[in-house]
Amino acid sequence: MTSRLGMVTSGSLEKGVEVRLDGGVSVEDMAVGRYVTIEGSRKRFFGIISDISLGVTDPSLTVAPPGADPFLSEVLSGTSTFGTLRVAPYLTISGDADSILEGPQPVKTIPGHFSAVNLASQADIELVFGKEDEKRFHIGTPLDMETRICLNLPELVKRSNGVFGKSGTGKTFLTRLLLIGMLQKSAAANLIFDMHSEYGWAGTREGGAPVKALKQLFPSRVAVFTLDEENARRRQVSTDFVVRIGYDEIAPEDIALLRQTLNLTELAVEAVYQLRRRFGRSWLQDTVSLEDAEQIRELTEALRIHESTFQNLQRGLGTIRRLPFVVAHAPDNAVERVLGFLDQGKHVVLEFGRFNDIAAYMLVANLLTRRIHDRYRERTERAMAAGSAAPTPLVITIEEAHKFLNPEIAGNTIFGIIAREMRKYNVSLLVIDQRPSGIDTEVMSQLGTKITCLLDNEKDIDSVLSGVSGKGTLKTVLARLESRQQALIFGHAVPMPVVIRIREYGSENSYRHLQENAPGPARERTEKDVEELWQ
Amino acid sequence: MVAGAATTSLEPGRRPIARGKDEATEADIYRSSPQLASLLRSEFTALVAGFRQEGGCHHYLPPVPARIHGFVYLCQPEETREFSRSLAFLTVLLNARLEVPAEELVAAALRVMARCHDDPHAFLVAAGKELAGLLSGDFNRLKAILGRLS
Repeated sequence: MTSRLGMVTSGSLEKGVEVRLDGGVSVEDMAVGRYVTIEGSRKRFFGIISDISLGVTDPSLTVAPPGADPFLSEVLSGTSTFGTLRVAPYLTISGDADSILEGPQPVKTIPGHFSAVNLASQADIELVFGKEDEKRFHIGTPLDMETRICLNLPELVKRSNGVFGKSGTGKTFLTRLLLIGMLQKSAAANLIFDMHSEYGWAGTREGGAPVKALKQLFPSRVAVFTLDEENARRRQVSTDFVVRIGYDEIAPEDIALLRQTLNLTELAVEAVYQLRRRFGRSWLQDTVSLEDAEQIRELTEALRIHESTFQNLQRGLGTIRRLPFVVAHAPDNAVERVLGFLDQGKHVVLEFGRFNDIAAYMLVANLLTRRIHDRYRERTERAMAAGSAAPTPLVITIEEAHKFLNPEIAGNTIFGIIAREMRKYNVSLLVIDQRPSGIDTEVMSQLGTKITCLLDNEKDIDSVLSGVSGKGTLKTVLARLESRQQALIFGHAVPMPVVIRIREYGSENSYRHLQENAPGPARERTEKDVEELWQ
Repeated sequence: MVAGAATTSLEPGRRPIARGKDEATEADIYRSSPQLASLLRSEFTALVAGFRQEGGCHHYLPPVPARIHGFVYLCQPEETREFSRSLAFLTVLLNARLEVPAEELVAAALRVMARCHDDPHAFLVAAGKELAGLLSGDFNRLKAILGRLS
């Protein structure tokens, strides 16, 4: 069923078309972000309502408004006084066979005068976003509609992506859904640096019972790693591996990244490289344990480091050494373990437990990612040489992304490199952040699909929307999102920007739906796992 | 549509003289001066708003004017209803050059027509919307008409 809203009266491709509402349609029933179709004479257009305004035919109406006469208001509404919509057209579908096969195309023109404008129907939305299938994951519904909006996940993971939004707007729930989607519908493996222990076993919910997270829903496909065994035990989470990091695993590059967090000077970071050259792999241990004043003097003189710089460095490194999961010699190689699980097609969630301060998070995330990325690069290059299949795509999820990707250090951190070189080595990022303005613009521009919940800081909005066509339109839509459970998706994985009400998550029903949709092979694998268990 | 009415002297240019200073009622004046009935004449102007040809109603000016000595009849409610199904005659009314203001004529015509419809309110709203379209740039004129409809 289509319901007619009005007709096109003017407009341009750049600014969108002006639609005059019919007399019977109330502006109060309209909403920014809602979908409409415009029936041109040869093409159909899909667009989003980007602005709503009131118009009068005669300015004297506004100067001397008629009183509260109901008859007068009835006559005037839709004639002398009327509502107008500004609609940004995004896609067209022309009637010929080619375009039906290719699906909707980006707009290059606008509909003619007096084209009829209708609310988009269920079928229209399905035509644009596709139905839920083995590649598409139901992420939510458009505003005021029951149609399912589906994301093409194999397409999504081809690029790095971003989830943004103010604190408390539902980023975590959205991310959890995305991860479940990736787990079910894409061939990619996930590595999640879970700062607040939200994705592995259970997640918190404001004013409610905890919600189940990945491991509870898909036990055979998810491995939970932890840095904090005690915390995991207390929360009764079954972990697959306890991560320990040896001093010898920490490289100067890891320290460089933590410069600001550890309050180190530039010179101190320079000194790290010299110390590494001098002491070899045990440099951290050796540097921190150096206490004798005479020895320190000898060393600083030999390396031409200023003594205060050395003290600054020692203090900073002391912070790292105090982290309980950093030990002299790691009993097992965490990188190998992560890769082992990822190779089996399992998704790895690394919980930080109590160590959720930014220094620990950055150290571990950077350290593991750098090594995993190196291995992936090696494998991809080898696969390219041998002409064999490339390794499974890997998606690394990081929170507080602005700490890793701010303009000062984005050039140096592995995450900056991954975001830039994109999927060449089959590794991409899912960055989660509440301060997108803190992220390097170059990195932002490389993100394929951006999913953003409410943002109200002007700088953040600008940064999320930078380089997007129709920025002005989206800005209005973004600033008007509800503060919970609504998100704007735009970019590579969706044919046009879409505002969604995020799918329900947290009830028994929702879990069942999510599990039901697990693809065939995964279910078979689960069944096989169960059989093996009993043998 | 009756667009004006006047009672004048039979002789053009001659103004009737006011009488009846000493009479008690208006009827007494005619009783005491019976010639008055033959000296005064009432006329009305009719504005042609449409015509009927081959059974169909048309809401614009006819190709030929009404014949001299053509008899004039009052429209029956059914005819009024039929005619007012289309509101195209409003343009003719608004643009006519009359002695009375067009707003008065339009409002009066619509009031009469509304009485012939089953749902007078709906008819008036529809007519009002049509007028609002025609007078889109002149809200004061529109307001004057709408104010005279109830």
